[in-house]
Amino acid sequence: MIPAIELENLSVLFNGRPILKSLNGAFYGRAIGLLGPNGAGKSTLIQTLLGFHPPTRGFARVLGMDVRTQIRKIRHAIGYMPENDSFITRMTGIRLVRMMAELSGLPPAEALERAHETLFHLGLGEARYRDVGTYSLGMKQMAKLAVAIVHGPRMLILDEPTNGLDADGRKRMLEIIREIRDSRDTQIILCSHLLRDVEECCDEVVILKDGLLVTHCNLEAERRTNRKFIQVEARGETGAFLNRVEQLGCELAVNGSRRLEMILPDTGEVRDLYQLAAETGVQIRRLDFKRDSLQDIFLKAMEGSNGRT
Amino acid sequence: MAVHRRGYRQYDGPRTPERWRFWILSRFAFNSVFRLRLVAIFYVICFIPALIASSAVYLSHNIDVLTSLFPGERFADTELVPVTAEFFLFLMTFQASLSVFVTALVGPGLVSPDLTNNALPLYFSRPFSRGEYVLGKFSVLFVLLSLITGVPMLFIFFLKSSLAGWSWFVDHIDLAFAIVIGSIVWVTLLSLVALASSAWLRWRPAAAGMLFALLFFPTGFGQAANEIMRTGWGSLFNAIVVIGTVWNSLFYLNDPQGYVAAARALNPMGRNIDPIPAWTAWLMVGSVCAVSLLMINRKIRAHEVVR
Repeated sequence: MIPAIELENLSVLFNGRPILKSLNGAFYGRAIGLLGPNGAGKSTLIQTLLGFHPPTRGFARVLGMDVRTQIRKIRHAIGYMPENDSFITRMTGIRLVRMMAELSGLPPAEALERAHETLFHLGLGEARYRDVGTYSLGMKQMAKLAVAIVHGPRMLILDEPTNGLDADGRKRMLEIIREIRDSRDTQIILCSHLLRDVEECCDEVVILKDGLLVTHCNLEAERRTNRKFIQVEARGETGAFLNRVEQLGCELAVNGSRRLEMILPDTGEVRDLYQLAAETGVQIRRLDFKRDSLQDIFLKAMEGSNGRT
Repeated sequence: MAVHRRGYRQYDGPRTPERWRFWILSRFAFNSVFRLRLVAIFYVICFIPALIASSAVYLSHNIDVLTSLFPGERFADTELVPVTAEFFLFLMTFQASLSVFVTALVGPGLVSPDLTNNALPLYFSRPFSRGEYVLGKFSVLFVLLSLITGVPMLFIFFLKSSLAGWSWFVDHIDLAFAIVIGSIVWVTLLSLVALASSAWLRWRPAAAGMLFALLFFPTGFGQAANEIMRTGWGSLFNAIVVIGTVWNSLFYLNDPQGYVAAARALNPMGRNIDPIPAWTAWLMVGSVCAVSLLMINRKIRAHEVVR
C-alpha cells in the first residue's frame, strides 16, 4: 500500500532558519490529522507537500510521488483548502469554482457541471450566482471547500477548515469532511488547532512541535486499546478475585489495596469481571474505561519533544 | 440524477492538454473585462482611427467610389494617402497612445484582485505554474493591445498590397516586418509594466496611476537632465523618445537618411542635440521589461514568506 505521505529526513529552511527539522514517517490513514501549536511547522509542511517550498534536505512523497520531481502530477491529485480567505473579487461563486476546475484540467462542460453540483452539495446552490466577495464567512469557507473538491481529487488538504464557523457551520463542515473520507475515494489531511475536529474526523494523527515530528499515532488503534484498558475500584478480599482475573488472561496492575488497573484480553468482556467479582465476593464500586483522549496524547507530546514517532 | 442531488465523487474523466491551460485564465479575464461597459465602448472607439485610415487607403485606389460619394468634387489621379513608413509611424503612435488608456483600464484589474484576496494559492495548488499564470495574464493585454495596434496596421498593409499589386508588397515587405516587431515590442513593454504595477499596487486606481506615472514621470526627469547638463542622454528616460527611436530603427531599416530625420524630429529639445543611438533605446526597453519581470516574479508567489 502506498502511503498518503512519506517523509524522509525532510528539512526546510527559510533564510537559514530551520522550520522543519529532519521529519521522518509514513502515514497511511484515510484521514490524517496534523496538529501542533502555532509555529510548529504545520503550514510549512503542507506548503512543502504542495510544492510551494522546496525541501532543503531530504524527501517528501505524496501518494508515492516526489514533491521535487513530480509536483505537477501531485497537484493533479490534490485539492487544497487554504487557511486564510482565498477568493477572487468580482467573480461569482459558479465562475470561480468552474475556473478552478478547468485549471485542474477538466474540460469546460464537465467543469461547469461539477461546479454546479459541488456548490449545491455544499449548500451554496442558491448563492452560486452571487459575487464571492459578498458571501458570509461560513459561505466563504464552503466556497473554498468547493474549489478544493470540484475536480474530485485523490487527496484533500484542509488547513483549518472550521476557522470562524459557528456551531452549525462547523457541524456541517465536519459532516462533509467525514462524508468525503467515507467515500473511500479520497484521503484527507486535516490541519487544525481544534483537537475535537481532528478527533471527530481523523484516524491517524501527526503532532509537530518546533519543526519536529513529536508524535505519530493511529487513533483507531488507540481507541481499540482504550476500550480494553480498565480501572476498577473494588471492596472486600480481592486476592481470589485477582487470581481469577489473571486466569482470564488480563494484564494486571494493583495500585493500592483497592484500585486495580487491567487490560482485558481480546476475548474478554467487562461482564466477565462482574461475574468473577460476584463469584469471589468482591464488590466493584467503580469501573472506568481509561480514555486516553487526543487531548492527553497532545499534551504528552507537548511535554516531551524529542522528535520520536 | 439531477445536479443538485449529487454528492461528492472523484473525477477520472479526460483532462485538457496542459500546454494551453494558461489560456483559461485569459478567457475568463476577457469575459470580466468586457463586462465593464466603459471598457467595451472605449475599446470599440480604438478601432475608429484604423478604420478611417484603411478607408482612406481603399478610396485612394478607388477614385470612382470617392467621386460617387462626393459628386461634383474632382480628385487628382494621385495617391490620396501615401502608404509609407511615415504613414505607419503616425498611425502606430496614435494607436499606441490609445493602447495606454486601454492598458490603464484593463491592466490594474488583472493581478491585484488575486493578491488582495490571497487567491494565488488556489491557482498554484493546481497543475498550473507561476509562469503559466503570468503568461495567462500577459496574454490578456497582449491580445487586446495587439488587436488595436499591430493587427489593424497589418490589415492596412495587406489591403494596400492587394490594391497596389505584388510589386508594392515586395518593395515594402520591410514595413510589415517593422509593424509586427514594433507592435510586439510596444505591447510587450506596456503589458509587463502594467502587470508589474498591478502586482505591486493592490488598489486599482493607484495601479492605473502608477502606469501613467511610470510612463511620464521619468520623461520630466530626463528632460530636466537634458536641460541642465546640455546632453541628449536624458531622453533615455523619455518613454516617447525611447519607443519612437525603436520604431524609427525598424521603419527606417533600409533608409538611413530617413532614420536620422525622424530621430531628430523626436528630440524634444529641438535639433541641436544629438539623438540617442538606437541600440540604447532597445537596451532601455529590454531593461524595463526585465525589471518588470523581476517585480512580477517577486510578487507572484503562492505564499508570503515572513522574514
